[in-house]
Formats: sequence, C-alpha cells, structure tokens
Amino acid sequence: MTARHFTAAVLLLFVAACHKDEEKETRETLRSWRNTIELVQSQRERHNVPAVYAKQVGKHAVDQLSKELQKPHSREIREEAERVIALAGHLREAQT
Amino acid sequence: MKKKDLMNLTLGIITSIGGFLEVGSMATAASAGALFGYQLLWAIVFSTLCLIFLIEMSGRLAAVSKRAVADAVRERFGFVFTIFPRLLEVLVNLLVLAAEIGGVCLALELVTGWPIAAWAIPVGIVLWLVLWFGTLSWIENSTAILGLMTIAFVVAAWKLHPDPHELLKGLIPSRPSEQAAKYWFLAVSIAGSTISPYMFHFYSSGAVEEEWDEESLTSNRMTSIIGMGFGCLMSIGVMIVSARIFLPLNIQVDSYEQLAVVMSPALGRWGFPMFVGSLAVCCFGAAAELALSTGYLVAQTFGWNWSENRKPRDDARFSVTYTIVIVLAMLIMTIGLDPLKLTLFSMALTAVILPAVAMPFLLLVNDEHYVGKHRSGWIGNTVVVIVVLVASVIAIVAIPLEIAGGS
Repeated sequence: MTARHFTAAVLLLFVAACHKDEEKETRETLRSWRNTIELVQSQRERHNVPAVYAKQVGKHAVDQLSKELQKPHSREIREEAERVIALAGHLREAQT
Repeated sequence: MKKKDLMNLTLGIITSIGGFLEVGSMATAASAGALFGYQLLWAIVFSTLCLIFLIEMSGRLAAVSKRAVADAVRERFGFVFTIFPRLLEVLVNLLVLAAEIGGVCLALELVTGWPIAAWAIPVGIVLWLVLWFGTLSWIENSTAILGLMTIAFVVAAWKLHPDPHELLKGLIPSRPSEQAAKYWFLAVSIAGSTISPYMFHFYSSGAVEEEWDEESLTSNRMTSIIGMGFGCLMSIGVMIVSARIFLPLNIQVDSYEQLAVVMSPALGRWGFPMFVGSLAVCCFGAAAELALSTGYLVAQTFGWNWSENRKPRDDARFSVTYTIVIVLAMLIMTIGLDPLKLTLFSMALTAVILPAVAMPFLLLVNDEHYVGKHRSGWIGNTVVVIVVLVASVIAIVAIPLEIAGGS
C-alpha cells in the first residue's frame, strides 16, 4: 500500500465517521427539549425550582429551537419544532 | 500520629474531596450519564487512579526535593525544553479558567436571571481580590469546606437507587452501539477534567509553600488516595443522577440550563439550591486554584519569586501573572461563548497535552537525585504512562471528529 492509498483510506474513514443524519439529530434535539421543558414544568409545579430558572430554560429552548427552524427541514419536523417552541413559550411566561 | 498531623491530614483530605469536582467534571460526567448511562464509568475510575498516582508523586517530589514540579522540570531539562509544554499548559489553563469563571457566572445567572456576560467581570474582580489579599491555606480550606456540599450528588444518587449490576458493568470499557465519536470525545473529556495538570502543579507548589518534608510522605499518600478516591465518588454521583433522570427521558445535556434541574426529582426543594451552590463554590475554588497554578507555573518556569503567602509586592511578577490570566479569562467569558462547549473542548484539549506535561515529571520522580530512595514503583509508572498516552491518542482522534459533528 502506497502512502497515497493510505492517506485516501484515512480520509475516507474520516468522512464516513463524520457522516451524520441531520433529520435524526434534529428529532433527538426536539425530543430532548420537549422532555426538558416538561421536567422543569413538573418541578416548577411542585415548587422545587424557582420561576426565574423556569423562565431561563424556556428562553434558552426558544432560542435554540428557533435556530433549528431556520434550517431546511421536513414539514413534520417544522411542525413539531413549533409545538415545542409553544411549550417553551409557556415556560418562559412562568409566574414568579 | 500527632494530633496536629491528624488535623493537617483531615484538612488535606477535605481539601482534596472539596476541590475535586469542578465545572469540567460536572459537565463531562453529566453529559456522559445523559447519553450513555453508566457506560463511561470506567473513564472516571481509570482517570482517578492515574490522578491519585500523579498527585502522590507530585507531593513526594516536593516533600523530598523541596521543589515544585515546574521548578524541578526546568532545573533538570533546561528552559528551552520546558518552555513549549508550559506554553501549551498556560493556554489550556486560560480556557479552563474561563470555563470555571463561566460556571460561577452561570450559577449566578440561574438564581438572578442576569446573563453570564454581565457576571464575568464582577466574578473576575472578586476572584482577583481573594487571591491578592488571601493566603494559600485560607483560600484552599474555605473553598474546599464549602465544596463539600457536592456530597449532595452522592446523596441524590443513593436516593435514586442505581442498579449495582449496571454500575459494575460500567467499570469495564465497552463499545457504544451508536454515537461512537461522541462516546470517545466524552471519555477523553472525562480524562482531561480529572487528570488536570494544574492540580499537580498546585499541589506540589502548595507542598513547597507549606514546607513538607520526608515525614509528610505518609499523609501525602493518604491524602491522595482517600481525598481523590472520595472526589471520584462525587463525579460518579453526578453521572448516576444524570443517567437516572435524563437518560430515560432522552434529555441530552446541550446546555447548563438543562443540567440545573437534575437533582430536583431526588432532593425536592433542596435539589436546585444544592446544584447552584455546588456549581458556584466548586467553580470558584477551581478558578482560584487555576489562576494560582498558572502563576506558579510561569514563575517557576522563568525562575521568579513565587508564593501566595507573601505580600504581592514581594513576588510582583507572580502576582501580575495571575492578574493577567484572570483578566483574559474574564474577557473570554464576556464575548458570550457557550460555557458548556468551552468546558468540554478545554477538557479534551487537556487530555491532548497530558503526555507533554506528565512524562518529564514522571522521569523526575524516578530520579534518585530528586527523590532519593523514594522513587516511584512500577505499578504507578505503568498506570500513568498507559492512561496518559491512551487518553492523548484518543483525544487527537476524537476532537476533529467531534468538531466535524461525527456520530
């Protein structure tokens, strides 16, 4: 095996390792934020976390997911993102 | 053992426990727990084993040779050989210091709602005032004793009833079924956050400041083993809590905001304040140690005067060094970098530079000229060489993959 072949093999491996499924990753991000929001909401209802914290989680989620919405995604993902953003919006408006 | 020695030993152990957990170990253990459950437990345990040996070696070197690590390396290998690894270390320390200041700011943001960037300068100023006016033992002991609140993670882990069989399985390295790049990136980040070179520079410089001698070797060994061992338990506690709360809900830790709720299901109303308190105190303690450690490192490399116990005017260049480092770290945090990403990358970078830092030091603790008859045994040497080299090689491969978004 020549040095050129070896370099090409390493590059191919690198590219293969870097391959990512954008759709799958976005779905996981959405699910992660949805569950975070629900967890924080349930802890807020038990008065285990302060409102100021719940608001920050809501704001952060809205910021992150709004960035996701700017990328080209399928209609299904966009609708789910909008639903999670709406949930995050409620958390952001949490009463002190 | 005399009563005073016992007191010093107890304080040393408390310092090690309280000083173990910081923003890096919290972030890496929590991210790993959320994504892979207990699968990366081995990374915490092996790294701690390596750290125990390195901390014991640095204390032994200081007690016998009366030299701190950086000082002895410069004397033995010369300035030219020393300067490049030290430069790398200072750069990594700067990033880690910024991440620690970011951790304190984040704790303040969580309770006040004011953004991290707004807190960076006040936190930096308070840190500088503490170093400028405080003494080494005061800084060490106060932050470490407050840092004991991190035991809350162990209590929360206990209350969540982790499966012992699964925990034992986590002690054996295994291949992940998916997200291999993330898995290895987190493994080296755990290694980097645990085997932080600043810790053994700080420890050996502290030993020189406190005038340890050969009689201190037993307490040095016990402090390293018991202190670091219990500290490791705290990290394991973070991983367990994250694995029990976040993994079943498929919550990835993408930001510290998500992490702050992790103890609430187990500790109820105490969970949030304990998390915020632990984050603030541990990060502040680590930031103080990092700034001092960088001052020690630079001063010892250039052969300047250095001591935290003297007045700043008596070792002006040492004091100016930590002042500059604090200002730069403060500025990094004011530009609005994501503190979690900064933490994870600086921890992985720490793993990359480990061989350049640990290997010369390893030669010294096997050199009779420095440690006399107290040379290191083959077990310690082997563990350190293997863990340091493996962590560094994995980091070199994993960092580009992580940057490229590998899965």
